[in-house]
Amino acid sequence: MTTGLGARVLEILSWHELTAFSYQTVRGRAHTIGEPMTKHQVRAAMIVRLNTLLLGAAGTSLGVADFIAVCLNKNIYSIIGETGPIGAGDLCWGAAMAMAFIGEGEFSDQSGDRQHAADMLAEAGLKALILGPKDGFALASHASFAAAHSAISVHRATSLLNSIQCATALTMEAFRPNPSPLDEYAQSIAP
Amino acid sequence: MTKTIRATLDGQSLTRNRLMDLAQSDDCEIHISQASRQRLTESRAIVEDMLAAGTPVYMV
Repeated sequence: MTTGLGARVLEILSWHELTAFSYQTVRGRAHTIGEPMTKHQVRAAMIVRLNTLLLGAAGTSLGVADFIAVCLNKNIYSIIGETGPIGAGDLCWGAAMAMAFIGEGEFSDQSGDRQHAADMLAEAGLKALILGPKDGFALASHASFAAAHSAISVHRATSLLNSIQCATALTMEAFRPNPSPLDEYAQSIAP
Repeated sequence: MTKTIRATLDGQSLTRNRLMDLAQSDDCEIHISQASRQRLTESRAIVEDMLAAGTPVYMV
């Protein structure tokens, strides 16, 4: 947290160097490819990251959390390619999300238009997020995308199951079949 | 006209359904709970104290 990486792991970095390291962490890992994730996917991940930052365990600046909340409320979201993660957590996705926050990636808005992040932030009346030491790492290295995408998958599966149950019930109502397979006792021995 | 979805996040009480509502919404107001603000301020102070102390700390 106060040192460099790799060969510099025992070398203490100054506040200035750690701040630069935050930007370097984001810029060096914000490499995603493929079609952009949907707005729904990115917003879900931003909300998950915001929510987990609020536990305080990452030690980020309060301004980072406030910035994510403002972006969500202004309905702007980072453009992130659907393929990216290597290594720890959702590193590349998280870094791509953060690239827009610092005004160097791309944002999209409600209309779906993509713009350079700095331009979109200016349109929204916002300034790029200023990173302090540790902030870049906290924005890049986490599992918010995996959690958000899993939540979306479970949500869709649940909706699908509910639809199947409704369709089955309506079909049985229409054809008036023998309902004995749904008998509680029959279900208990052969669910 | 869509209805504004309001939520106060605290790091603990967000449910899957609420997450989906907020993620899909074009009109939401997300707030940060006061307790979370306090928690973030305190944890950031610990980070800054460690930075000021100058002790090598890796990946805390």
